[in-house]
Amino acid sequence: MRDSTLVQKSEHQTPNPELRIPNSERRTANRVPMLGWLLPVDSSAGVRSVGAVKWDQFTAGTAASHRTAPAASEDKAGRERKSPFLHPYFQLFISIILTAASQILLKIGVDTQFVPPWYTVSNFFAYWIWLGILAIIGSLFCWLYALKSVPLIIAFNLAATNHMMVAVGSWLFLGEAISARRWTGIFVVALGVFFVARPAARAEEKL
Amino acid sequence: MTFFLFFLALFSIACSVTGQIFFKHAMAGHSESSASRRKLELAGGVLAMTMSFFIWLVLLHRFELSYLYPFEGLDKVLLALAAWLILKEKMSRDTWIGLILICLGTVFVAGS
Repeated sequence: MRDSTLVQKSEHQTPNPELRIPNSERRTANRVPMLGWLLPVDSSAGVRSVGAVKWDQFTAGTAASHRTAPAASEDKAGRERKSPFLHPYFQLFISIILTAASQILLKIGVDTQFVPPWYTVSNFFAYWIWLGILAIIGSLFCWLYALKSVPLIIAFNLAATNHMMVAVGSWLFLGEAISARRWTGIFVVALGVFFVARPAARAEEKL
Repeated sequence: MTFFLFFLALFSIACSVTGQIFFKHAMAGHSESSASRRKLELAGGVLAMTMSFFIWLVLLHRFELSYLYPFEGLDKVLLALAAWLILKEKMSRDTWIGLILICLGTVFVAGS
């Protein structure tokens, strides 16, 4: 919301905001809130603009949003998003939640319904496992949808929280007693994933 | 966790990484790649993902989730190593720090 007010104020002051808004101000207006917190210092221009485009499409389909981010109109042929559920960052969030949920569902299914030889008939009706599979598929689709517009680096950074989420989930829902040592390990892994996100994202792009 | 099970986990993770890369190639839709090639990639992706899924189920049957899941972090290590070995990418200092942290965390979890 802060972004749109900023834009509107500058619109009042200048007759032609397209030309008059200084570049620095335009950049702050474009930025997604809290994005700087997620990004490493040398955030590339691509990252910033992509975030800006989606945020503008999300907040309002007003003419002001087109003015702040000229790329927006070129990007998706000026299509305006109505539903906030289709916002890419929301989809990313859903994807992360579903990934954690799928692990927990699978664990419940394996614990309560799975019978050792895998070809046992009852295994094919283990609904917890099927729910887990559905969650995996859902998370995959949300992930792919989000990756259309969220840069891979941010997505990978956010995916680092998965480890904490699965740990908290298995503590809450599965009643696993997690020792201090294991918490430390999980936290260190999450931190490491956070560090590796950038090169891993680059590798993923190239491979 | 025994040596064998650790390698099973690693194999499962490697399969899922391969599957993801296959899927990505199949969906990227290069103009030069033919339809049959795309089908092959898709099939490879499905196969790798399925394999990884079933191995993961076997492992889940044996271990607690909070114990097993941190090993999933090794997929980033595999990706980075693949980029290092196959693409001859230079590893930055941050990458090394991250890789070491992940391995350290995994060792911590494995010992808990």
